[in-house]
Order: sequence, then C-alpha cells, then structure tokens
Amino acid sequence: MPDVDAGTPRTIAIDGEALALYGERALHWPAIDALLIADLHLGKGEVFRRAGLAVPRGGTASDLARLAALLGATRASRLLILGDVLHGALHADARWREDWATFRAAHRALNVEAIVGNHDRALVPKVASSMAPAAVASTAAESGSGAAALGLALRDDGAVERGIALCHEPNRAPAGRPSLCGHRHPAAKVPGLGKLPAFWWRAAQCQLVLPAFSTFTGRIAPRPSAGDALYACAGHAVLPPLPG
Amino acid sequence: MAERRRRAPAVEATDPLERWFAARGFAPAEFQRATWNAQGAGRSGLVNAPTGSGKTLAVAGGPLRDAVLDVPTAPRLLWITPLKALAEDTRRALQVAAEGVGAMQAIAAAPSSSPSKPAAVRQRAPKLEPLRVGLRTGDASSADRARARRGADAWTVTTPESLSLLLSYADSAAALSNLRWLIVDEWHELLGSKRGVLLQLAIARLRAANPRLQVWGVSATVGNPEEALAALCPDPSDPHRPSPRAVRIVDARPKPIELTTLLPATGERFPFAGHLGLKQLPRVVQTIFGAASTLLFTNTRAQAELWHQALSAVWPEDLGTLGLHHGSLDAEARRAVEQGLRDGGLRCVVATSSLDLGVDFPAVAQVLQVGSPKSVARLVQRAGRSGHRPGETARVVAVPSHALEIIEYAALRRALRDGQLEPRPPPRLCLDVLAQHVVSCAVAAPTDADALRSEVRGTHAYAGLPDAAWAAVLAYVETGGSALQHYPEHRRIERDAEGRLTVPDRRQQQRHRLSIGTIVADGSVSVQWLKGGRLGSVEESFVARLAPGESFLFAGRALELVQLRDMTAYVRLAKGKPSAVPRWGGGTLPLSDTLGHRLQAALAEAPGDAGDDADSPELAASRPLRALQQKLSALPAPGRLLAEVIATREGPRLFVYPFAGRHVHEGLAALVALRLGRIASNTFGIAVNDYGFVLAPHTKRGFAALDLDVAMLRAAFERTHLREDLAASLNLSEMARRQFREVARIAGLLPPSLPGRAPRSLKSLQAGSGLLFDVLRQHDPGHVLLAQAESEVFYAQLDATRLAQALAGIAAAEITLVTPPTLTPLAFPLWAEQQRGTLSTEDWKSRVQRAAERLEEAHGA
Repeated sequence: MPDVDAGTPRTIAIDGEALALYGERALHWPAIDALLIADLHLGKGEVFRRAGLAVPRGGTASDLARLAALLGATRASRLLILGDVLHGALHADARWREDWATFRAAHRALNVEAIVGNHDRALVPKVASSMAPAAVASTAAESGSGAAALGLALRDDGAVERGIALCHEPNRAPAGRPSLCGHRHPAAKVPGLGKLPAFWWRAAQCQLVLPAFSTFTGRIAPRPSAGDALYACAGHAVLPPLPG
Repeated sequence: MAERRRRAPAVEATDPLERWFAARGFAPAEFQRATWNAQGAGRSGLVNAPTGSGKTLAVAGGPLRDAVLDVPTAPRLLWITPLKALAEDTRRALQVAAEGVGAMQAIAAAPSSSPSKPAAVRQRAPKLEPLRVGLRTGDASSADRARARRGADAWTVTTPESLSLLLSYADSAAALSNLRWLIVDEWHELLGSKRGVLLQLAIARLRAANPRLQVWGVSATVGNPEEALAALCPDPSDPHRPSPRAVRIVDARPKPIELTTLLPATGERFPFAGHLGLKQLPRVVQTIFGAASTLLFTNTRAQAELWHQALSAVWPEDLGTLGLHHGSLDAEARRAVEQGLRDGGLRCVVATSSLDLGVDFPAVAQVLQVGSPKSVARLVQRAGRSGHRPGETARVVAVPSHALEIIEYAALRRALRDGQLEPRPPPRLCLDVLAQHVVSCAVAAPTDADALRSEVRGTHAYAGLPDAAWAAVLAYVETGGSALQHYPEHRRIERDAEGRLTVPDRRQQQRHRLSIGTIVADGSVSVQWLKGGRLGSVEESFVARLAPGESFLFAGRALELVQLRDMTAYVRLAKGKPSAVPRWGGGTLPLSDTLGHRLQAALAEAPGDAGDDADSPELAASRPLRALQQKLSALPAPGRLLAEVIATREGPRLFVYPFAGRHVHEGLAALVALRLGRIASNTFGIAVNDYGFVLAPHTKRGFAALDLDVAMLRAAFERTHLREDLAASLNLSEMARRQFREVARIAGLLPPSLPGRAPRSLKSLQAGSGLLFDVLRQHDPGHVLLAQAESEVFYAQLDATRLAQALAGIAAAEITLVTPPTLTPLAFPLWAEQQRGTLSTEDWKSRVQRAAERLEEAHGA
C-alpha cells in the first residue's frame, strides 16, 4: 500500500466533546475511541466500468490506504461509517472485494460499524427495502446479509453516542440533539485553491456534516446559513473555518 | 457515368437546369456552369463563393440533372449543413429547385426494421413521384427522422452529427451505401473544428462503401483553400493533399462591401474600455431607422440580450418589429424571427453567430456589427448577410464599443481592401473523435479493425496516424484502459468470432447514440413558463447561481426564477429590473493574427499626417487617441514590441502589447511571469486582452527588486525551453482538467447528459469530468484521453504554434520599454479588466499556508 501521511488534525468541540478533524476527510472522536467517516462509496469505479465507462482501477485501494493511515495515526479501535459504504451492487467477483478483504485482514481487531445510506441497498436484504431505515438496520443486523459478508455491523440511523446522534442524511437527523452526518458531500470554495471537500458545521441544527471520504466523489458547495462554518480539507491540512 | 456525360451537353437546349434558369429570367453564372460540368464529369471538388452568389444552385446543379436523367430509386444525395437553423431553409430551396427541373424519385418503402410486423406487409411496389427532399436534424419531426432512417427520400438535408448517427444504424448505413452525392454547405464553418473531423470520418465511411461517391463542398473564401479541399477530397496516396481528381471552382465576381463606422462626434468622450457599446445607442437607432431592415450582430448571446433590451426601451414603433435571435432560444421562436426576416415584417433583428450563415434573407438592407468582429473573415461573412443577391453591394455598419476598436476598424478596412483573409487550419489526430467513431462503426455492424484503420488513415485528419495512437484508442474502447490496464468488468466493445469489433449490448448501443456528436454544451437547463411553453435553454452553471425569486434577462424578457426542477427552470415575468444576464461560454474569440498585424500597422501610422487618414475615417477619428498614446508612452508598430511599467494606485504594473490575441497572451503572460519570478521570487496577477497582457506583482517591492530592463524582458521572451516553461508556468494540469470535459464527452467517458430528464439508469453514474480527470491522473496517468486533453490545451487552447510564432516575432523585434506617468490608452482596458489570475513560483504547500493565513487575517479566526 502506498505510504500515506494522515497529517495534523484541527480540534473542535461539540456539546463538550472534543472532535479532531483530519484533512484526509475523517473525524477522530477520542472519547469513544472511534474514527468516523462518511460516504466511502466502495466499488464506485467498478459500477462505472460495468456500465461501459472506462474509469481506471485503484480508487478503492487508495481510499483504503488513506483509511489505514488514519487508523494508524489515531489508533482508534472502532470505525464508524455514516452511510453510503457502497456505491452499487455487491458482486462477489468485484476486484474491490479483495482490497476490502486485505484491509479487514490487516485490521482484524477493528470494529467496523455502519449506518445504512441510500447507496447501501446491497447491505440489507431485499424484502426490507420498503421499510423505514431504522427497521431496515435492525432486520439486516439479525439476518446477516451483505453487511456480514463485509464484516461490518449495522447501526440504526440516528444511533446515539454520548448524546450525539449519528445519521446519514442531515435532514433526517433527530431534532433537539447534536448530530454527525454524511450524504451531502459538502465542499468549500477557497480563494486560490478551488473547491475543496469540507466539514460543514450547521449552527442552527447543531450538526456537523462530514465530507465524503472517497476521493472519487463529487463536491457540492452548500448554501450556508448564518453562524455556519466550513472547514476545508486541503491535502493533509484542515484550513481555519470559513464563515457561512 | 460515361453515358450521362455524353448525353448532357447534347441536350443543352432542352437541359432542364438551363430551362429552369431561363424560365426565372436568369442566366447561370460562369462558376455555376463550371461546377455542373465538373460534376457531370464525375469529379468532386470545392466551390469558393461568397454568400448570396448562387452557390447553392451551383453545387445542386449536377445532382439535379442526375435526378432527371436517372430517376433515383434509393437515397441519392445528402446535404450537410453546419447549423440546424439552416436546414429547413435549405430543404425548401432544394425542394423548389427539384420541382423546377421536374425531378422525380421512385423509392420502394423499405421493409420495417421492427420484427413484430412481417416485412412483406410493409413493402410496396415503387411508384414514380416528385423528388422529395427530407430533413434529418436534431430539430426534425419524428416522422422526418423515421423517413430518413429508412431512406424514403432521395435527398436529405442533415448535420454532421445526424449523419454520424444515421451511420450508426445498420439499416440506414446500408441504405446510404448507394449514395451518389454528398454536399457540404458552409464547409469553412466546419473545417476548423472537431465537427469537421467527425464529418471527414463519415465521408471516408461513405466513400469506402461507394468509391464513386462525389463529394462537393461550398465555402466562403478562406486563407487556406487547398487545405480546405484536401480535408474534403483527400488524395488516397497522400491525404494531406487534395485528390488530383478534385477541382476547386472560384466565383471570380467580386462582391463589393461598403463599410461605414459609427464614430463619436468631435469632442465627445468615448470610453477607452468596455465591450457593450451602449453609448452608441442613439446613433444605432438612427442608423436602423435609416434603412428598411437591419441585422444587428453582437459577439455573445449576453450582449444580444442586453442590446435587445436597450433597443426595446427606446423603440419608436411597435415592438413587434424588433426581433432577437440566438442559439439558446427555442427553435420555434427562432423560426418566427427568421420568417419575419424573410417577409420583411421585422425592421431589426439582434443576433449572434446563429444568423452568420447562409439562410437567404433578401430583405436585409444593412448589417450592424457591435464591437470587434475579431477577424476579417467574420466581418466579410456577416456583411454578406445584406445585399444577398449576385452583384449587390453588401452594407455593413461598424459599431465600435470603445476607442481602440475604432482603430481595429481602420485595420479591418485595410484588410478588406487587400482581400486578406484568415486561414482555418483543420484539426489533426483528435483521438477523442476517433474513439467515438470506432464505437459508432462497431455499433452499426461488426467492423474489421485493420480495414477501419486504413480507412481512417485515408482522411486528412488522421493521415499518418501512428500505430501507437491507433492501438491506444482501440485499447481504450475495448478494455477501458491503457495497454497495461485491463478491466474485465468493462464492457463496451467486444470481438466476435472473426475478431471484428462489435457492441453486443443494446443499452451500450443506445447510450453511445445519445452521445454521438462533438459539440459539448455545458449541461443545459430548459427555460419554461410556469404555465407551460418553452422559451429556450440556458447553461446549468448560470441557473445554479440564481436563487428562486431572483430575476434574469432571457429571450428579450425579464424573467423571475420560480423554481428549478428536473433540469427545467420554471419562470414567470419579473416585476422589477433583471439582476443578471446569462453568460454563455464561447464568447471570447481571440483576435485573429491577420487582424492583429493589421492593427499594429494602423496604430503605428503617425498621428500627425492627416493625408494618410483620407481614405480611412476611423484613422482620422482615432488620431487624438494615438496622439495621447504617443505623448504618454510610444506607439507599437510591426517590428517594435511596446512594454510599459506604470505605477498605478494598486502598485507597479508591467504592460506588454504583442497584439497576438487573448489565447496567445495568456501563454505569454504566464511564461514571462514565471521567468521574471525566477530572477526574484514573486507571484504575479495576470490579465490579458486581445492587444496585450499585464503583470501585477503581489509583493510591494514590485519591479524595483527586478531592476527590469530591456535585456531582461528579452530573456523572458526567449524561445528555448518553451514547452517545459509553459508546463511549469501555466497550471497546465488545471487547464487540461477543464479541457477534459469536452474530450471525455466526445470519447464516451462521461454519461450523456439529457436535458430535461435524468433516467434512473444513469443516476448512479453521475460524476463530473473534473472528478474523472483526477481519478485518471492518479491511477492511469498514461491514459490516451489525458494526453489528448493536454495536447489540446497546448495546441488548441494556448495555440502553441501561434505562440511560438509570436515569440519568433518578438525575438526579431525591437523592444521599447517606457515608464509613462499614468495609465495609457492601451494600458487602460487591461487595467480595467484585471482579474485575479494568480501564478506562484512558490510551491504548493506554502500556497496552502498562505491561503490559510489570508483567511485567518480576513476572518480573525
């Protein structure tokens, strides 16, 4: 695996919890000994190639190398994925499955927990697709489907850790408590550096939206409200907050 | 063929063509007869004639005779037009001519390709009927398209993209294999673009199916007529050159052009910069009402909207006599305006290049050009929209928008006098277009790769295509990657049992057909009334910046955005003033070299000698400006490069004026910035226009630290290490990233964008071209499309060839470095236009650091 440097984090405090933001688009939460990421989109290149769009290989492998570096730097024992673990179907012969297996083998002790995102239909049994997301998660956890095959445990959308809710879609987060979410792929326009992936602090919702972890993902500059802040990820560094 | 040649001259008295001309009271022009004779002799060729000279009937003559003497029983002729907007008019003109000579057709209804109905039921015996000219363009009705696909019309008018699409269907490709005539209208419009390349490939396909195919082009005069002929009719043994059997026929009659410039009154303040020219509004209105009907050309669609609005505000008669025409308007609205032009119901139409080309509007009495036409050829083309009859004088009125453009028109007047026009070099070795073509061929029918390679190499665009490039293109369409990377899950082109290229997957076939064509539009959003009714389309990136409730100017109206849904912007009439005008891409054509040289010469004419100005009111009018420039600084001249260092309020600035067009100046500015930055590390802000560029050092020391002198400037314009220094200076990768969008779309790497609908099947395939570019750069840096994008940036965008020529010119020139006390007339527009293009000689990390510091400073974090 290529040598990847995790860089130095920038620490923020939400609801009295210290959270370290990494420029490689991840969040370390020491109090629960977990590394949090969102929108991993495993196998996205494969989905494109199967459709005849010749995207090169290696995207998933390099994403996983970045993840390994972050786990090494933070020594977290838990990995929490805030939805969209996958991009498309879970073909057994897909090449990225090997990459993932290698990653799991190198991190046997790591607990991988995931919230089901809109791209994660393959993680849960088909019959459940019409059910509410929370119900889907518990059904899937029992049935041991795609999630089990990847060696990850499913968590309910909205599961709470130390008073903070973990969700996929920001607009479905429970009101009245702070939350950490994904789904939106937020980005910030930085003069001279273009559009960079960013952590988006939404003051009114008391919510932090994580940037998409995968580098093969689009970036959407949100329309921030008053009091919001965007922490842009420039390589290994997290830039000081841009006001909304 | 030989039989026809014997018969045609013998029956001249009763020749249907001659008789039809005589019946209308015309005698064929010499070049028309020459074309008919060459066509009768089985030859191919190119007709050079100005708009309004009867060139349509020149090239249609041979096929008309052919249709009378040998009634077509299958598709016989394809007429390629560059603009959809032209197709219907052309079709009508050809239909009238066909009826005039009494041409017939006897085409059996082809069996339906639908397997559900037995072929025999649909088949009918051929019956003799008047020759039908059909239409096959993106705007054509579905009935027209269906007729074209099964080849029900003897003649069809179409576009290069629609032809490629037709060739991707096995049934229509077969129907076209007996085609006898292929006519390319307005060839000069296609010649210099990838659309022309696509057409060259399609012609090669048709020629391979029928070696007797006669290909004829019609073109306005270009600076490189031999190359224009070669691209259409290449010599099989040396496709860089025209075939020895091909002829070029020139209409020798000159078409007089009368140029008048709307000049400011003596003592009137005329702006030094700007591009709208609205200060000329009173004079323009006066000019418009001095003639029966006027075409007012602007260079961009945004400018057209603004001029239309300005004219509406002061229009003295019914607003129904003022029209607007540009490529983003709905086809129906465009047609209504064209009809108004034809029957003379409109007094004035504000238009962009959408009306540049040869639709006949005999009613147009004069043409107004707002701002600079940027090239001699475009001025001639647009002037030709008036006086659209053989022998008539074309009247063009120039509306300069700022003081320097007055001198530009002085230069244009001289170039017109000397008949000097720009060349249009046809692009070569575009691998993205080739990739698309290979897939199109495989979609139509199993294709032998080696045969296809020879066929492709027979075109001007791919003559001498290296084996490695061919292999890279095949590898890309077959395996999805470079030669070293194979993706078994990637399915696009496969080999059949005989090793031929096929596309077995129906969805892949369909997706490919959606992406055929080479014109890449920014994702376009349809603009519709809330109550229904379409107005046209605007670019997605523009609408995305608007919030509901905000208003913008479009289709001549102030509209309020109500909501944006499913690629449709729903609008209603706005109450207040519009806050925005859509900016469309492609509005920044660079000044041509020809005009740049002429402009330099015009500027250099000493402002003192009034005698020289006698033949040029523009030169006389610009005398004060040239005098001021000379007093404050110096006048540039051919063989003399002017550079100015001026202490502005914002700090010292270096202005340089090579007059090489904005693209070349972008490259030159970056190059000079890099080299000066090496002497004393610095970052420069850059701005360019068509006359020159300005460098603005970011540190306070400015050029003092450099101790800038002529020798140093000369070194900065050195020709050695050009490519390396350009690559290091211009964020080439960022430019390639932008260029990649077009390349990826043409080569089928991006899913086709379908205005108005986003099919579910494509939902998980959304990825921007920038993202794909980054992924390729990281994981497959040798990818054939990356190389294509980089070479396009280098040769097309930066215009490396012109850049090298400019450097050679500077090397031979004397450099004059002056330090004027204030901004000069030449410096002012650059200063005004200065944007935030930055270039750093420091490395990326410290740039990140600096951006961070700036942010901390600004926001006190």
